[in-house]
Amino acid sequence: MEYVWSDRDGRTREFFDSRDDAIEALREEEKAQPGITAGWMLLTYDDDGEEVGDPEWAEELLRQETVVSFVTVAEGVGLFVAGPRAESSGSGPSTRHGFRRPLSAAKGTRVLSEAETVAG
Amino acid sequence: MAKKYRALKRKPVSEAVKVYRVVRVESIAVGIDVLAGEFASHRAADCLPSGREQKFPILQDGLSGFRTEVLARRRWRGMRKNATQHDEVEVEKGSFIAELELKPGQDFYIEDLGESGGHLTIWGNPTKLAEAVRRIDPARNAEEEGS
Repeated sequence: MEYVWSDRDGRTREFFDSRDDAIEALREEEKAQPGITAGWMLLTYDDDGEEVGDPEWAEELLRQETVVSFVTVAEGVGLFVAGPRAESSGSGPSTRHGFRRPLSAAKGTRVLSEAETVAG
Repeated sequence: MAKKYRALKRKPVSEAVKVYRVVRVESIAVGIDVLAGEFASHRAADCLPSGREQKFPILQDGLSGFRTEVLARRRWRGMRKNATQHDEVEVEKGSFIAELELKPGQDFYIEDLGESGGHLTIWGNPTKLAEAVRRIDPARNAEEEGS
C-alpha cells in the first residue's frame, strides 16, 4: 500500500509505505508549521497503484489525534485518582479491581468529586 | 532524530515526454501570455513549503504535473472532493487538463519519484511551458458530464 499526502492544489507533499508514518509526518509538519496541512488529504493506493477508498482529511485525522491524546491523558489521570482509592476502600464496581474510573460517569457509577478524592 | 526525506531526483528532459497539468483556462486560444500564467512555480504561487521542500528548496521553483492524463483526472477528482469538503463550488486550481509535450533542449526538468498517484514536479520557463501545451480538455469525464 502507498499513502500520499496531497494538498488542496493536488500537489503531492509526501508519500509513505505505512499509514502510521503518514500520520506521524502529518503531525510533524503541523508542529513545524501550524496550519500548513489545512486542506491536505490522505490518498491510499493499493499495490497495483489503484486508489483505495475515499480521501481522509488531515483536519479530521488531527482532530482524532487530539481526542486520542486527550483520552490517553485522561486515562492516566483516572488511574492516578482511582488507583489509590481502589486499594484503600475496595468498594464500588469501578474501583474493585483497581480499574480506572472514566471521566464521564458510566452507567451505574459515580465520578469522584475532588473533595472525595482528597478526603478518601 | 531528523526526518529522512526522499532524495531529490530532478533530471533534465532528455527525450520528448508528455505530462499533464490541471489548469484554469479551457483553450489554447487564450494566448501564450494567459496560458503562461498557469505555469507559475510553487514559490511564485506563495505555497507554504513542506518539510521536503525546505530540505530541497529548488522544489519550490517547480510546479505540479502528472505522468498520465488518467492520473491527472484522478487527482483532480480528489481536488474536487476537497473543494466540496471545504464548501467551495469550484476547484481553485482549475477544471481543465492541459497536455504538454516537453522536448529536450528547452531547459525543462522533471522529478518523478514513482508515486502511484503519478505526481511530478516540473521545472521550466512559464512561457516555454505554455508553448509546450498541445491540448486542453475538461477535467470532468464525459460520463460525469451526463450525471
